[in-house]
Amino acid sequence: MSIAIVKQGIMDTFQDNGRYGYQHLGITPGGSVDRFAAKVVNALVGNSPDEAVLELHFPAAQILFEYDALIAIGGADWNPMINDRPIPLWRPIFIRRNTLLQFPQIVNGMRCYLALAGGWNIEKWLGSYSTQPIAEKGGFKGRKLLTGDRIEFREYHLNWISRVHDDHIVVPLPWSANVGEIYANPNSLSYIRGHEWDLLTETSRYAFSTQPFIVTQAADRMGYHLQGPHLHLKMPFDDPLPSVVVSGTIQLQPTGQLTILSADHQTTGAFPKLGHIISAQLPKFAQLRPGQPIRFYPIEQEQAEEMLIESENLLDILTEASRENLKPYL
Amino acid sequence: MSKEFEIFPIGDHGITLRCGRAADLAVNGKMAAMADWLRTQHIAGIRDIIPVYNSVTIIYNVSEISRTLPETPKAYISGWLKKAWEGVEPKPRTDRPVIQIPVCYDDSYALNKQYVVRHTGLEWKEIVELHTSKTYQVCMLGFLPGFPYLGLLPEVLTVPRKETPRTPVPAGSITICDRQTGIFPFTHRGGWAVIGRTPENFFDASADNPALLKVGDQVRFYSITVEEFRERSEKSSDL
Repeated sequence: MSIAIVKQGIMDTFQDNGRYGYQHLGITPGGSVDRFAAKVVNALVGNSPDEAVLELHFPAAQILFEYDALIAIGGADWNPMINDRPIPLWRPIFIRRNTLLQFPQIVNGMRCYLALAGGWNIEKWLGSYSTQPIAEKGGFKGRKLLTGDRIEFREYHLNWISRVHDDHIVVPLPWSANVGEIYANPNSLSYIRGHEWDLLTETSRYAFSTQPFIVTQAADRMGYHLQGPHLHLKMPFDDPLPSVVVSGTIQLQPTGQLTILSADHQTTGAFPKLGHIISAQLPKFAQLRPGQPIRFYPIEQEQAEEMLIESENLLDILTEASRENLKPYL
Repeated sequence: MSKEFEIFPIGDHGITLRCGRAADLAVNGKMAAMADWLRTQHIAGIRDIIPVYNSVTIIYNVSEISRTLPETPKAYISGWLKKAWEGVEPKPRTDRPVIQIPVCYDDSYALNKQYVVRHTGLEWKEIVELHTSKTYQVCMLGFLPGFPYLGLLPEVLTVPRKETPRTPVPAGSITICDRQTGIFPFTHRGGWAVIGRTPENFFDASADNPALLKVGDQVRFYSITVEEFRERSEKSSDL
């Protein structure tokens, strides 16, 4: 029971919701950049939200399923196909053994997530399946997937053969997750002001609040470099000691340009922190591609907390509903 | 030590307590002690407690706190940070054993010797003497898993950050930058100047607590010869 990587992608790794509790040792939480998508695809196949998923970047791997599987795909839309047949996103799908999963072209999105019912037989390190590329631990051999890799399924029994005709190699189940709300207004990101916000000149604060910032090619799991109006501080930054940063922290580089940190960020940063993208909108941020614009909107912390709790409630409902729907198939 | 502190949020799921703006070993010792104390308390929704030079940050799970407690997550976590600030007295640093770290400062490992000589205007022998003359404090771990920021480097050894080179810095390299010295636990690119290499490992991925140095620890370097370095490297790779 396994998948085989027929052709490797550019950066495909196993991730979960992150490795917390070790940042004081310099070990970044990592994990899926789009946690929401990862949790939704897990829910759709009846997994726990903490199960590992395969996070794909474009161009993604070509994956041969060597055994029957129940899967779900979500996040970026790259027209996924099983053999020659397009398959839907955000929906549980039975696929037959000896079929090839491919992602031929970008429609939108930066990261795609593949969940497998029952999960993968991969390495846990310090409580997490997330791939730690520097320590080379966690996930599959602590690294991205390469051509020829074979990743075993965990022991899992599907009782669906009787329901599906032998000729059918792909059977999407008749329900899907509605995630539209989470990814609405993809270019608008809400932020909470950072500790050094007040150090910006008035002109720069105005530019930050009204001008678009473009995602550059330098956009990976560590962070995104943006291109926009040059921002200036009222006086040179005299606070050079590193302090803790999080996924979504907006830093001002000495060049006057912005970076936004992502899942594999270093645990600390020494640049001025102008703001922090709110947690509820990190999934949206995770799906932005180079060339796309961002506009920043300030928000109060209490509202950010409410939005986060709301999205988590949505996931709870989805997890519960999926479990009920899947019962007759398992 | 300053009695002043400030508390500010890091987005919607982190809060930092910070004291002063300068690197100060007494402040750092207090931050380490506060983090140790916070770890022994039963605080709901905690994900990470991170002491660095002059601050402690708590990363927390918003919904876990707001589902179980009446106060807002921000008020709850800020309250714990304040309590730690008020209640925790750091032990004097002289109470801790000093960890002795062997370093070979030979040309074959001091990859940026010329850069350091040029910037400090000192002879290599003096540089090695100065680097081994002080007991340093682990002020934080960051940059790479298990990378210790050790302070404070003698002022005369201050060199600026280099352009990050294309070739990676080998694991075990002893590096300096500003008032800090650090040890590369992994081979990785980085902009600190390389002045030597230790044959010892400071990161053990198979251990529950993989970083062998922790914030607040006291360390001292001593010079070894190339022969000693090779002998010890063989020993540590046998383990």
